[in-house]
Amino acid sequence: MSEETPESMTIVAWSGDLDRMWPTLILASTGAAYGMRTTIFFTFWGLFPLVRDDVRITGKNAMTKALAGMNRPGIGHMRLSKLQMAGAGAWMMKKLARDDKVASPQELLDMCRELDVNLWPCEMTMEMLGLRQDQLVEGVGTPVGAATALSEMSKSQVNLFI
Amino acid sequence: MPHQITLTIDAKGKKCPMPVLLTSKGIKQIASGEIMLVEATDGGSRSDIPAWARDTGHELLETDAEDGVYRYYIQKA
Repeated sequence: MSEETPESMTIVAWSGDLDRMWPTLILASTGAAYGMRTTIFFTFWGLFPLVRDDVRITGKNAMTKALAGMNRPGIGHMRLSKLQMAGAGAWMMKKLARDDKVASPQELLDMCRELDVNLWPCEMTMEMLGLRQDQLVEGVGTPVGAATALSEMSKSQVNLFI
Repeated sequence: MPHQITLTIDAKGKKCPMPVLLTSKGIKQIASGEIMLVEATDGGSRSDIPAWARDTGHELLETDAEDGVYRYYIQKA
């Protein structure tokens, strides 16, 4: 490996929106392909795409369940932050990508796992939202705290907050 | 120039970043000194594959293009 290659990248994925999670997964998988130690710290809304697509409702009480109902979890159910248009916006983006042979978020997440990207869920958010590890997709790491994420960031040459 | 190809990666029709991801997966399957052929149609691969090879230390022996298919011959370091 040449000297100028960064050795480590950490991405904080705080949003579950399609328009943020897609580039996050592209950069993370590419970082791993570059031989970088790559970590994504999923926090707040960023955790929802890690929930298995077949899990409809998550949460530990009425409020967290209602939140999950308003913000359907799962990587196949991500929405656009702008011009979602009741689903038409996200649908059009996905169709464009499919027609243009751009890898879907699901494919990219699979690649991240194959290329050993660390997928770290935020422990605090999991507890707050009442998310359980068994509701998350396979290959997700043990939940960690903000200090663990910061410790990783302090050792990374590339840190992104997407 | 004939190369002894150990593995061929078909990334034709796939867009950025898939050609680089498949290349990276492929290089793990061959031994040091062996040669892998990557075929891609994505124009981004023309900058991405050479950059990837340079940064990961593998040698891009030869590149050619024919009928819209780019071919990269990469020797594992």
